[in-house]
Amino acid sequence: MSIRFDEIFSQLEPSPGSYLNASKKISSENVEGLRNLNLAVLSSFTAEIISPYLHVECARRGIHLERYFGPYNQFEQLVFSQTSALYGEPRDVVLLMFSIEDFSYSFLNSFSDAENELDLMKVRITGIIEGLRRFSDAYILVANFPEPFFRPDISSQHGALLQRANVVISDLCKRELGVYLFDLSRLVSEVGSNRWYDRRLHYIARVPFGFEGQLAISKRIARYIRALFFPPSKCLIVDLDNTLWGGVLGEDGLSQIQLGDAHPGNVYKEFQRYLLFLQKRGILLAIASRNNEEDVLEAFIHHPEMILKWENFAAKKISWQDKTSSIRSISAELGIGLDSLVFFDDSALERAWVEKEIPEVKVIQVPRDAVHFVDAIENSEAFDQIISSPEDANRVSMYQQSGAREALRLNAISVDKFLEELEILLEIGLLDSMTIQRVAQLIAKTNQFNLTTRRHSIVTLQRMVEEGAHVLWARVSDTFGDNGLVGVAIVTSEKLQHWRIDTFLLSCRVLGRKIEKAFLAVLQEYLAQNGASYLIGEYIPSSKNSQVVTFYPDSGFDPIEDSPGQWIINLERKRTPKPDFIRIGKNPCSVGSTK
Amino acid sequence: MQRRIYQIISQLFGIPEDQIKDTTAPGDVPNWDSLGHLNLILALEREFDVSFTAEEVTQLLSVGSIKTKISTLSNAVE
Repeated sequence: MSIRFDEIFSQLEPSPGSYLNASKKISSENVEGLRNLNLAVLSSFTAEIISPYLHVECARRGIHLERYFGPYNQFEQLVFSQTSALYGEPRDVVLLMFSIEDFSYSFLNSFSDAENELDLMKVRITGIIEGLRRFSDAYILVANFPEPFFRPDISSQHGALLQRANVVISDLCKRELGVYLFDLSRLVSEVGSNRWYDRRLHYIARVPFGFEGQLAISKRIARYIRALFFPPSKCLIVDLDNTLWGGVLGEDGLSQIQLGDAHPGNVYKEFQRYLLFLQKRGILLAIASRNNEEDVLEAFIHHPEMILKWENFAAKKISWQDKTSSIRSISAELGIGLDSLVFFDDSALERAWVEKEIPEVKVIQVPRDAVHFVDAIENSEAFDQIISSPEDANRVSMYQQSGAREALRLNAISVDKFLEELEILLEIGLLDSMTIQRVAQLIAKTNQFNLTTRRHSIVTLQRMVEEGAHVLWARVSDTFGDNGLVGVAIVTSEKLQHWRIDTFLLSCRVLGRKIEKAFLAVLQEYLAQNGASYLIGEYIPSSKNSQVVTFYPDSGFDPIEDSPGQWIINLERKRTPKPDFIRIGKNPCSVGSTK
Repeated sequence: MQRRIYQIISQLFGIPEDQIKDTTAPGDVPNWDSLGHLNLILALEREFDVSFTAEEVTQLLSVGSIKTKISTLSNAVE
């Protein structure tokens, strides 16, 4: 890694400004030497805020990360359609994150229906994973549910329900190929939910993490990505004195070293247990210690509290030679490259010397207090392992060859089927005192699906109604719950049976479901019943609404000659078709609920 | 205090300090979108050791209003 990168990282502070700056600098640096990887994030909330932190934390780990954030809450729309932006570039990792409130509005309240909700959740997530697998070989990380920041009472059943949901996710990951659990719940516990959340961000923007949470999740995601693409280090080389036991064997004698169930011996005993756990996972252990070999052998054989055995160590360099020579000979003896070795020694001097002489070796910054030894090794990320075995890696390639994916393609679920199963109900009404606040809010805030971006104030709205404008709102609900009021249409009458759409907008919460078409269809029905023959639609471009540039022509409108951005439809000849899978509930058309 | 605010805005949104005025608002600055606004709030809170309420966050939509609010909050502490 270049010197420049080292500078950038050493100046990094835990603040948005510092990370944004670092992200810019990294972008302008030569990123050769970093591995290029591509991540797609699909979430039920806007997650884009973590993008620069992800960028920096990945660069720190030797990864140049391309990041794609899908429009929020459009899992099925993105995953089931081969031409969606999700598949626009080949992805190496896809991260799925669900906020429980967004994913299933009723879940936390549905004690009586818990089994049903859990089943729905399982079916839905399975569907999303299988959908992804049809078109992508990416690794899939599925986040589980952390504790929400608010739970009504101490012994509520919410907690148990949440745990069961997490078991569902965990089981799914075990079953599926190349799908791994992203333990978000654990991460939030580590940080502490009081520090993780910023309630303001939740209420203002439905963002489920404050800055601390954003930074922590970015680091953790970067860590997972690194663990997926880089192999863990192969061998941990440890010192003995004040590392595997308290005290110095050669000076204190076998009976005086600290190792046992009482303090301070228990700290070292626990550390030995941790090393044994690493060894069982496949990591080689080695000793590099300045000691008498007979004394050490005696300690391993005769000390009753030794957890580790002589045989647990693949190589032992116990002599009075310097550590760098020991490390080199361990490397040669085991046939392991220097860059796969990790060195753990309580002496700062020894560590500094090894860092200087053999910079390829990973040197753990061993803390002064032995109680933190395990943390030091864990936090080094050197032995992170997600793919548990070579067999697992083999299975993925065998799967690809066997055409199992073809079988999935045949049983394909399509976006349309998903939309049908949503059982979307659209209700439309006329502006009144109960709805005016929400309507005004939508007018003020909606940017993307907004044809004209006219920011009428509440006062202007009232005046427009007094002058004859019709203001309609749209409310949407589906099997997952009630989305509330999400759409607004304002129409004004011009000359002779010509009406104009002054405003037509939809909250981004409900995009990707053709609701806009249904809303437009009912609007046309309503206007026709009120004597309209022609309906004019306008598109006024803004920096955010380019996605609706073809909305009117796509809905059957024709361009008006010499008036770019103006469209017209003859209601007596043509109507915007209403999508079949959307049911219309209460609406102001005098014919009652249409089908 | 004005200088520090202008510096933060300049750094976060990549515009020169001399282009910033009291009336500067999200509409005038390309990177001052809703995401940028949240980051600006967090940066200001850190810099001045103040805390905005959720409502204040959504109302501080011009450099002038930010200056006034920070001034009030800082004085209240003293």
